[in-house]
Amino acid sequence: MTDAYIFDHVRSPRGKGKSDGSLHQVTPVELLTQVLESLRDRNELDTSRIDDVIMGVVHNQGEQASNPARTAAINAGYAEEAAGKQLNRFCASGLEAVNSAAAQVMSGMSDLCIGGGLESMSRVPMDTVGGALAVDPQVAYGGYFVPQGISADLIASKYGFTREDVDAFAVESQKRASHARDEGYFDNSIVPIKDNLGDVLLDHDECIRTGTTVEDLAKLKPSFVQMGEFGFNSVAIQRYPEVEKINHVHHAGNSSVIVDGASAVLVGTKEVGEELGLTPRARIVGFASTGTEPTIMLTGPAPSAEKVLKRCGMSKDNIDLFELNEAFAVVVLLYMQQMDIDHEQINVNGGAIAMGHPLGATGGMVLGTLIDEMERRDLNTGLVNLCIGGGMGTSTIVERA
Amino acid sequence: MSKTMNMNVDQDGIAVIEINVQDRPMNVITADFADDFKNCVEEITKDEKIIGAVLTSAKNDFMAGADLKSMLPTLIGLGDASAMAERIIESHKLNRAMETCGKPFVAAINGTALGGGLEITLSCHYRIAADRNDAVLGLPEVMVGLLPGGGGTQRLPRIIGIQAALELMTQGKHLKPQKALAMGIVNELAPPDELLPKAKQWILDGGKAIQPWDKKGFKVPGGFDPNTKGTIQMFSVVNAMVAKNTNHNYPAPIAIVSSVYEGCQVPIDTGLKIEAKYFVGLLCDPVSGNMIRSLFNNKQSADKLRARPKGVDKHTVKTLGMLGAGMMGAGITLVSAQAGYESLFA
Repeated sequence: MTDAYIFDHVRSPRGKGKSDGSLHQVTPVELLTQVLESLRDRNELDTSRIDDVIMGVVHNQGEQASNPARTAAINAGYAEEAAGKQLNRFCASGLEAVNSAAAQVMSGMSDLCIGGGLESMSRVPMDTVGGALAVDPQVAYGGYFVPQGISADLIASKYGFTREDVDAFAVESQKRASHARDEGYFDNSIVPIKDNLGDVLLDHDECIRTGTTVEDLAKLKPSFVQMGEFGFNSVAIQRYPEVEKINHVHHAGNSSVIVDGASAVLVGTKEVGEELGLTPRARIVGFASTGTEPTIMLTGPAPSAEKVLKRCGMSKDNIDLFELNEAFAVVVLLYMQQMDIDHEQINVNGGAIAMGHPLGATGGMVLGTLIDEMERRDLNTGLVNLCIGGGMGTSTIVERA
Repeated sequence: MSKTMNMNVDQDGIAVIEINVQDRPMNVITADFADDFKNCVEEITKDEKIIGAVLTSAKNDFMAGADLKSMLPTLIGLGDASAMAERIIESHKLNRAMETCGKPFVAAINGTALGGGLEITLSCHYRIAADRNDAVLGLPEVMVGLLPGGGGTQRLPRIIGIQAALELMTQGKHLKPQKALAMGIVNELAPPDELLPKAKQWILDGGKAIQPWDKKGFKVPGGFDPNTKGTIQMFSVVNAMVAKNTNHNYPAPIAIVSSVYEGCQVPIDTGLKIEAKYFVGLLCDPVSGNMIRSLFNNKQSADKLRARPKGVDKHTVKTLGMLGAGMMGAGITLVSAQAGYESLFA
């Protein structure tokens, strides 16, 4: 099997995913276009050598429909040989796209691919996107569907995480993200997004709340109380009768921020790298996705991590640094408990609670953050993963090249 | 004269069909009724002298739904589900023939119209209800584990909108005529003695013989598009509410929601097929048979004191004494007191 290397990665800054966000005026395809342009330009890439541009997009609707991967590649002036495809593994789409790119390379069927993702949550809002999962009565009723916020609160209720636990975690995430931004840890990977005159619209993650305290967060009302009362709490308890009541602990301050963003990761064989003058930064050791119980939904990270570790003949003790998307604070808390790892080993530069989770793009971003930090700390191995709607987890192990 | 209805044509060419199912206190849908009604519709369609029809009842009430008493034995050891669905889909053709025959049909709803009785009126081009306080309208099939299988899940949402129709059908609510008017289920109310003249007048005034859903460009009132925010939110909440209310124990409510959800995205003839399949699914589920037996047939016979020994008069409780008023006894005492009995406990 051929080894798949990561030569480079870039991402957009994360803009507030509302109509007053700095990236709201940028079309999704343009957002991805600028990220692809940057990846090409800083690597002086001959784009005719790219076999595939694979992009995760969760809400394949409106401007994000009809394969923005191919559309943005052409829009960015990539050679027409660079094919493009769009995929959806919900919140792990960006990482899945990198894994798919790696799979094409490892199988020997591709030399060079780009994986990553895109989500303009301000322009294609979550609540305008349907799909059978929540809406089709046969699917939602038969599958005990609850929205993610209820799943997150169900995890807290079932495993006994309190409001204080999740708020303290969120405060730490803000603190770490502020520190990393101030120290310039993200600078090398962020592509400033510009308007058509070349003026910068945004060059940093827009939503970090420096100085957030536990007292600030304590004032916030839980977000999913009313939703639960509509009937979703009852559905959750029907599935988990051992839970007496749902303790609503999540709110805007300890859940991932809604943002706009795009990411791109360059993956290929060692040979193509040598030929094109690219230096490998990391090797993709392995990857795995797995399914878990769909109602509680967000418990997939640990099983998917165990799966990929086993497949690679490794244990968690072989991993120097972890990264897990902070969809909700409780997801990381549970993962740390199940994997028996300390907060000092994971999300060391904060996460989506501070910086945001542009659904399809996040996987590429957290992978990039992990590689940057492994380089900065001179560590060898890292494991990145995300919890996923519908009850799944996707993991990737990388090592320094 | 048929066994279930009379039809007379007046000097204006208006056929008046009076439903009168013999040997039944209330009109119900029987096999004979379906045959007779088919003959009437065919005659009205063929006879050039007839310009339209009024559908009403010769009894005090308009019509209840299916004949549950005769249905129950057929629910035990049901035959071929696919064949049953085919029969039901075939039976929808009669209502569609009525809707599309080109002559206006008016329902003159003289009293209570429930279940299949109300569904027949939904196939009429216009509905006028007698303004009676003692009459109710509704689709209560869910109460016996079924769905409105006579086109109700397709026509009602197309008349009053998805949300109102779901609420009515999943809860099996009964409505007074005034409320039915306010919701748009009937077009008009009339004092009982003016009902027939008003119905005829609507035809004479040129009432159109076309259903809204047969018009080009028809849209469900209030809109229905599974790609829009309103529909997405409504269905995701409705699905959860049904789960909350049924604990996943009763199959009918979610079958109603699915029949509406799937059926209203397609033309009505396809929607009626979808409804028929969900309906047969419920018929084949033991829950509906058990509910009809316990909550309808046995309840009615218990109310009629069937098991009471002969010669023992009905006894009226005036004072209730409860010995051992623990959790349950105290509760019985409380509800008895609330019901107006003098209640003592020790």
